[in-house]
Amino acid sequence: MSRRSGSGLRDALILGSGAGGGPLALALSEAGLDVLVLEKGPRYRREDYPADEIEQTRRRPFVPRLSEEPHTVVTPKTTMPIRTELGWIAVCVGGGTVHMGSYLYRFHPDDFRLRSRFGPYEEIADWPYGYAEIEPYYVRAEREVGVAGIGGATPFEGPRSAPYPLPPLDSHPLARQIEEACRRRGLHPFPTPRGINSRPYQNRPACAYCDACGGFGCRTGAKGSVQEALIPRAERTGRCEVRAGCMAKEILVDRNGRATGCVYFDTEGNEHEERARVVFVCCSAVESARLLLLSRSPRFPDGLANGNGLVGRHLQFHGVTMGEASFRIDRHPGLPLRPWHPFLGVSVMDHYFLPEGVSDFPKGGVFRFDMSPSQPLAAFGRLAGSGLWGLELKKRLREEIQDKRNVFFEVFHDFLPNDRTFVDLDSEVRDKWGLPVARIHLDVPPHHRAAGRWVFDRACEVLSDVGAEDFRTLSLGGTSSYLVHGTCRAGLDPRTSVLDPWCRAHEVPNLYVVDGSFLPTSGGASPTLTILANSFRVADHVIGRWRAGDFG
Amino acid sequence: MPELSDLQRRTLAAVAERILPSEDGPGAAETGVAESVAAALGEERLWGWFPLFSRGLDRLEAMAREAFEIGFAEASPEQRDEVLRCLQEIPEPPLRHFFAQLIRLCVEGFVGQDGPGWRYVGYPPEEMEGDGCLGGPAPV
Repeated sequence: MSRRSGSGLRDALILGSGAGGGPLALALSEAGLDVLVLEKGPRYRREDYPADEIEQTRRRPFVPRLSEEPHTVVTPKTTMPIRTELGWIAVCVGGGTVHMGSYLYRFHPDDFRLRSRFGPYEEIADWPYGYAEIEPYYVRAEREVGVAGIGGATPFEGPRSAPYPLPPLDSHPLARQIEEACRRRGLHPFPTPRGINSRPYQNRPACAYCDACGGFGCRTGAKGSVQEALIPRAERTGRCEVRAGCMAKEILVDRNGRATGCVYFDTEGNEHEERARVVFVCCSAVESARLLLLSRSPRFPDGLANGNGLVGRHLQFHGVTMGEASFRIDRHPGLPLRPWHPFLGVSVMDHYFLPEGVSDFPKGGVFRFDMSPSQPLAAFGRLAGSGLWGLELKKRLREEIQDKRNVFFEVFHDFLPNDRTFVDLDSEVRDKWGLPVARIHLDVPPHHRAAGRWVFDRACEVLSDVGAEDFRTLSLGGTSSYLVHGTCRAGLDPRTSVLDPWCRAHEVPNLYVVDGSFLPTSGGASPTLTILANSFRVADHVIGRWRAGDFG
Repeated sequence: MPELSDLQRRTLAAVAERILPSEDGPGAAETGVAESVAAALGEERLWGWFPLFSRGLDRLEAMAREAFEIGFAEASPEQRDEVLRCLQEIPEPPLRHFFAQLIRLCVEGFVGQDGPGWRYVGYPPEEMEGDGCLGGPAPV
């Protein structure tokens, strides 16, 4: 099958359109570069998003089919690799930002220097830049996608040079009681920063406060996804083309070891080539590492930019600890439980670092309280495992929806990079295009459970103070499937990192990996805002180099 | 693509009616639950489950014949409930797994979309204004 050649030499070729690719597309095209974005997945419109619980939570439309494009995983407990959805985020224009709950916290200044602060532990490393350097880009990312919150509301966050562009979202009246209970325990509750419009912003409506948020595409357009907030503006410059349905299979390099473009499959399986002066790999951490490993050449026999064997190493997901508790409405006449609202929006950062004795590594994380989803299958999920059937099942299901309110909390905590957790190419399993799939090697350090357990107990104390009952443990030091980082570590030393401080491959002067792959450590908060901010930061640097003529 | 036999389909309808009986409001019989469970078994998300369901339904039939000398679908509601209570006690994890997943699929058929099931459970709650869009828990 012959390969079709492309549309001429572009300035920038961006592979992937999520939290890494989106800011690049906008900033580079605004600066005058001619940009081509190739996205593997389709492009959804607001009305395409399913408002259907089975479609969304059971059929999981954003993630590839196990029969077509699996990852595989091995752990200390497996005897052979298992096909898994682990590490897939979302295959569509906008990537994971399309279905994220949009919890857009900043990292703490010490997240950038864990090794300096705590000494060596597993494979943690300092970042090659600090909070002060990314802070203006946190401001930019918050402004570009529209983050709602109150700056300075917790004494634990880093300094801020500008306020949030939007005030906090509304919340369920129970939030007041939960905040008071936090304060009585000496904690400092603050409004959860959300990338969701609390007011109309950038010609997009305000949040409709519906029941289909985290895990769902936003039918209103209020969620600040890359697809809503960044891509259309990039396209309006007239210098950015976004092409959906393009699966990159290999990055091309010339004899001198410079990247020249890529080969991709269209949806019919035909091969095409596109050429550019600079190539940006933004496919999310597992898939970006995989693409580099698949891109072999005489100059790079072990994969592009992989001379030191570190592509795929330091894979990190995120620590996830979650719990839930119930209030029977009629048992708490003094509490404002009857109203329905999807959000509580109370966050606590007081346990971002742990006291001595909790774990070998004194790092906790931020946690947030929110209302549990009230949809029928989510309600059934709270009863599953009870073995109920018959009339009692029907009545309990009805009671669960009508007579109770459920509150939920989630702790975000570090996934510690370790030498047993990494990505390589599966030696047997191939995807529907015939390419070796990514194999994830996963070993979760005991710290995750120790940290998770302790912060879990602190969150339960607050809910217990307010009168919640029926506490349920949903996850203790679990592993997120869709927060993925670390596989192309950024650092100052080319012997111990894949990328330089600007996410440029040490070995390839015009190749950048700009998504979650670069993070040396995964932070005690959801990383999405940091990925967005870093991408804007890298874009500024690239624009400077381009104007200086570095890319010819 | 394996298909349930006619006998298995009758058994499925009969067990769905006991998992979600037509008491105190509509149940499986009025809401097409058995058909939706059979259809779900053909979907990719349940790939690999068919043998478990097939064996489970056959076992229900066998248990009814042994206890009451009558097929499961022909047995009375009380007789069918008795068989299900026994099923829950059998120390064979695959059978208990079958029953738990069957309950789950029946509930999905009952309340998985707008319809009589929603009205029965009271979703969306009165207090939810405007378009009560569907949602679900964030993926883990």
